[in-house]
Amino acid sequence: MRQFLIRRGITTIITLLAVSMLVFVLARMTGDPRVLLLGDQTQTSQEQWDAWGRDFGLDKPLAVQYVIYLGKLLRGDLGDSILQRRPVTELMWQRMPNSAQLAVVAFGFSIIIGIPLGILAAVTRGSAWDYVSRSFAMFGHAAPSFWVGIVLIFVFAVGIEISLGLFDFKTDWLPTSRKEDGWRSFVLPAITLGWASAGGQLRLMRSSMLEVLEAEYIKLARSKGVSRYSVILKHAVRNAFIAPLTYAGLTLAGLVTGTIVVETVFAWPGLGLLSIWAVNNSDYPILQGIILLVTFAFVFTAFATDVLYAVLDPRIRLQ
Amino acid sequence: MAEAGSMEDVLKDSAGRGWRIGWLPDLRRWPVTSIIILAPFAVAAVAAPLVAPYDLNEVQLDDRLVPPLFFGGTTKYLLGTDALGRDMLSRIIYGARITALVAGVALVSGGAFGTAIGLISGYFGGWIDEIIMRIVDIKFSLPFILIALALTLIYGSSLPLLLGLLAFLTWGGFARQVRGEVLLLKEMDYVKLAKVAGASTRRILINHIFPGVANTVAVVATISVGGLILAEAGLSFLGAGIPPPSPAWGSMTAAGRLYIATSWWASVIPGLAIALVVVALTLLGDWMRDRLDPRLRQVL
Repeated sequence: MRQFLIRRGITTIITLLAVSMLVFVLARMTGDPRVLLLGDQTQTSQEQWDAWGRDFGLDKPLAVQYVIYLGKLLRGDLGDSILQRRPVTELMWQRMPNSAQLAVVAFGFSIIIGIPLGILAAVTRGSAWDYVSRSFAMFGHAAPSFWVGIVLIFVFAVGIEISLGLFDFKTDWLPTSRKEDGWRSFVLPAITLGWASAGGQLRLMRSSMLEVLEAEYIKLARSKGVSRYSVILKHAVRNAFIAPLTYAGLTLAGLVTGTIVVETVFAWPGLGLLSIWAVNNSDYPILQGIILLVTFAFVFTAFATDVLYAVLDPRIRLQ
Repeated sequence: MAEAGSMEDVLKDSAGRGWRIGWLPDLRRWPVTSIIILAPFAVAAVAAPLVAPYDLNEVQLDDRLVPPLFFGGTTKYLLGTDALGRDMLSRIIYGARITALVAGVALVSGGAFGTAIGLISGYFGGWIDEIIMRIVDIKFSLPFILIALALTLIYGSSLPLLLGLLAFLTWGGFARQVRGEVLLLKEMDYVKLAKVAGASTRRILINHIFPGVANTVAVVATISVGGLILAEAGLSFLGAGIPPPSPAWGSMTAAGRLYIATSWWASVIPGLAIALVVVALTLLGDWMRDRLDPRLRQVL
């Protein structure tokens, strides 16, 4: 266990270093930061230009620049936005709650839908329930999330007029973007964002359940005369739960990336919209900060997931 | 990810309930749904100029946002027109060509690179393997869309950049699977005998080991192509794909989104094309996997 943790910890740190290096190299490829701020050199004197160069540390060798950059990163300094002239961390901090809330709600949706449907599909294998559940999973995986969002907006926000003879109604029930009216504005973005991972959870829970239902202890429980529901809920589900649970960690990390597209569709003021703004305005420091944050979140969750897996499943712990 | 309930089962369930017409080939053995969906798109991609009713960028400002047939439109524009009065059907047809081209080139280049890396990593083992596999791990933890956006910010959106990014997205999967397969193959007697007979490393890798992993490569390729198309569509949607007026389905969806309140078809139809193609490719990938390499069921 200890060796496993150490080995895993080292690879995590190496990954983070590699990403910081990549982001640093990309930053240098955007060109001289002085040019980005001023346009060109002609507007300033040579002394002023060189002084700024020293301020930015451009007179030092690249390796030294990287070490300085890394030192700043470790102190939580991601630099300043070029256009907004404010620390990137401050800008990200403002937007983060919106993205995090959306990701958490979408995550909840994917678990609440995916796990029970996965159990149902496994228990009723080969039936219409199974077929419908798996189609739901496959479509979530295949349909581009921005398109799902647009279709949902069209149906539930723009609304379709339905007339049933006696009473007519229009299905414009939900808002398209972040409003102050609480939970209602979460519904469409969360479904859009969470559908694909709900499908992933469903498939994983289903296959995990099918595997467990074949096990000897399930047969024993059945032959002892334990009721069907008790076998499924108490004996099978608990043991089948490990795989989806560990996948859940990666789901959450994946949702963070998924928000970029979904936030664009729903004009959701989170990190995704901020990164698109940064691209359109060539504000690289912001984008760099978001890349580092998302990668860190992903790598850290993967690490935590592996540890959780080891804690939950003794077979892995003892390896 | 383990996935015992494959989409092939779905097919079997729907097509395998006994009904079978004598003179037809056994439908259960073929990915019928995929073929039915993909065939028209394949024709569109190959023969776009022949089958498209209008010129790709022909603007008819009098016929802006005409609805599709059956939704208030006419047979003049079967799928309606977009905000500039361009025929949707023609643009979808040319879009199929772009999708096929982009996905094809990215898949071949990324697949070739990943396969080569996997062969080397698995065959030589040791520290080479260790380093390569760490790099693959790092590749999988990078936020692809954000890196793509960063590079687009730096270089501007262009076709070569898009192809490079998509190739980068796919190589890791090939490298991992091929490496695992090579680890098993290189212990086989025929490989050892070839070595004893004095075959060069290059010859062993290309003539003896590669044929053994070819099936895996084909399966990984079919399974990754759906994801590739989705990634291309996502980037085009965000404006980081092929620059307009190219009719990439993702950018068509993005452009049509502005008119969702009045003209749903401008964004819903291109997105539907993406979804259909990816569904068909997913089914095809599952079928290929079960056919060629059932062991991969455990990992893909």
